Amino acid sequence: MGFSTIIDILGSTLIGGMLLLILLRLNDAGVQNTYTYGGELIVQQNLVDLVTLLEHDFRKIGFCADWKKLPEPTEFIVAADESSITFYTDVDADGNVDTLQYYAGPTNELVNTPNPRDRLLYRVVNSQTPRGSNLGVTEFKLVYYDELGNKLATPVLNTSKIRVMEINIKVEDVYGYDTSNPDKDTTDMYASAFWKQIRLVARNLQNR
Amino acid sequence: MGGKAAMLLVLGFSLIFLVFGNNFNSLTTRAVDNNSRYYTETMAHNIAVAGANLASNAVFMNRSWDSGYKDLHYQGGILNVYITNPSGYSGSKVKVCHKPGTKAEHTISIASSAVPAHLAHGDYLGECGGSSSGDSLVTIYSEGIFPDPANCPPNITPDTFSVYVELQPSNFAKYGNYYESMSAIPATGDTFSGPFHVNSTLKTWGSPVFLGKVTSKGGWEKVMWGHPVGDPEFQGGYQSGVKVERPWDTTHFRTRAMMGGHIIRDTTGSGKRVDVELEFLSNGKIKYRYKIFDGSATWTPYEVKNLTTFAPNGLIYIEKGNLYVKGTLKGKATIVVTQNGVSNCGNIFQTDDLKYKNDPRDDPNSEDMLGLVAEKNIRLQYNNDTKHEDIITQASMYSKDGNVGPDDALVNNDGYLASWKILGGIIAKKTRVTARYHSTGPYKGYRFVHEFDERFYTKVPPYFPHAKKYEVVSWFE
Repeated sequence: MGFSTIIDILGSTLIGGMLLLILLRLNDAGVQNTYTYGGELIVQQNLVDLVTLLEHDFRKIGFCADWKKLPEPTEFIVAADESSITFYTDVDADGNVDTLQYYAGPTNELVNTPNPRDRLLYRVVNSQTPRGSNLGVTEFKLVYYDELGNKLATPVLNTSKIRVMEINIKVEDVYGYDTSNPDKDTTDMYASAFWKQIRLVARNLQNR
Repeated sequence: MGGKAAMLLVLGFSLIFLVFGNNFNSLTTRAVDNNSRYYTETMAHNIAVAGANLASNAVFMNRSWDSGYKDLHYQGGILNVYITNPSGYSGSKVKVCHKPGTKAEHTISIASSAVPAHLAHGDYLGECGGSSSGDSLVTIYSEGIFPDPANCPPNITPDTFSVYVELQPSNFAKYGNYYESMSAIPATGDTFSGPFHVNSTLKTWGSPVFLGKVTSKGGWEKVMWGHPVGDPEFQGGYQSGVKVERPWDTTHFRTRAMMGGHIIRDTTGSGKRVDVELEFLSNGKIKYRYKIFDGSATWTPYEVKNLTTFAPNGLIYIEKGNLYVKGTLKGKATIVVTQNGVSNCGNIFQTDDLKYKNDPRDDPNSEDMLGLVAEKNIRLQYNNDTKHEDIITQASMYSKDGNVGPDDALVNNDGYLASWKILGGIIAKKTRVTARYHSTGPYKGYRFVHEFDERFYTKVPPYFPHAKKYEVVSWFE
């Protein structure tokens, strides 16, 4: 075995090793991206599903199949705060007035998920036991405006003034990727998506 | 050997990367699908809402509109609107109840150009048997489809969204306050109960409180009077550009009174003035008398009758006369007093408290309900029962060409300050002062203590006047 052979072996080992390292890094990057993109997709799907539900319910504020049971638009919203709202509607359009409440639970309810900010979003119909779903909601913020566009302080003491609402929702990946890495900022670990309904007007609030 | 291993290694990783690539493609596709689904739903929703708005507007502009829209291309989608309108056209014809209240009463379909002539001789829009007092609902079903199925790629399923709207003729009893124009400007310290409308520009000074929805034809103007002040509180919302006309159809009232109510008028054919005194008794009866100004002008003896037999449908029509009314009402009634061109007629004078047997604030199931409709003025009369005393009025009061308020003598009230406690509404051409004011507030006359009767949102006194225009009462989307 001559010197050149040794050089060949060393060279090929070096190049092969580098190639292997590149491949391993690529593999790692592939796994990370798959995880991250998958998380982003889940976040996006959760957000769309959540928004669809919210729009469905909020557009029906003050609706009742038998409208004579809910004649006065100023009484449709029962309570309104920054992260909760209670209003009258007819959930199943059976002509009976229902009370629907949305509120975000505290973050310490979900200690078993790595994301420290996620919380349950509760949807409570009438006096049912509150049941929340963890769709990764980290922000559920409601802003209320009166007829002249003035922002109303929360909690809104006189809910009859509410004419327009702004809904802010942020959904994050519940588990994230590389969450134990101390060098990563927590906002980088969890894919997130934000949705804002700038001007939601429930039409029944404008009736009569 | 080494070469084979390298090849296997490269092939293995290539396979892994192919899987990654495929996975990324799938993720991207699903993300776009998800986004696309939300977009198509939103567009279908927007098209359906636009259709409902278009149809509602068409009904506002023409109460007989029932054409709807069929396969209208709109915003890249399709719009269909189906409408049910009891006052609607049948083809190009309009349904009208012909000769109501007579043996010849029947529904006919006539050309829209012939409608005014028929209405002028007592016919009313819609089918016979249906109430023309405004109880009939117009329903609009709007359907948005996106994307347009004709131009839709084969791998996309069009989304459909529906909006369902109910409209009803607006009844004037639903107003806490309605004025054609206002000489008095709502100001700080004033509180208005129930819906409020003015058919001109709404002017406010300071921060008056409007508890119900406020509408005006000519917008809202803040009067500054030298220094800036706060905004009014529109607790039920505010809408500008709303014109609510007040039709006056005495034939309609007369016909309805003939068909189950009661008419008091000069029956000699000479069209003399008739004044009526009427007291509601708390046992459901009425005590009344009248005099015809035919030269003698003597009062007839008092008669006492059950309200339900005197006017089974609750409508009492006094033609070319005046009404003097007081008492405690048990039941439902609307009293219409017309002028019909005779001077010193068309007024209603309240001579003492006028209230319900069961106050709806204490008994939500109370069916007691009163409407007072005058072609001219509605007045609190100055007499021994009213002067210096608090007065109660529980009714929705409608003055066609005048206003609603105390006699001039009661505005001064011999220097006394009392309260006029109203449960109901005031619908009038003009406003009227109720007291004389110092800079600190009223010092003689009547404090205006008004509360809207919320039952009037859904139930109204019999045949109480209603507007020609419709309003949305329910919106489902």
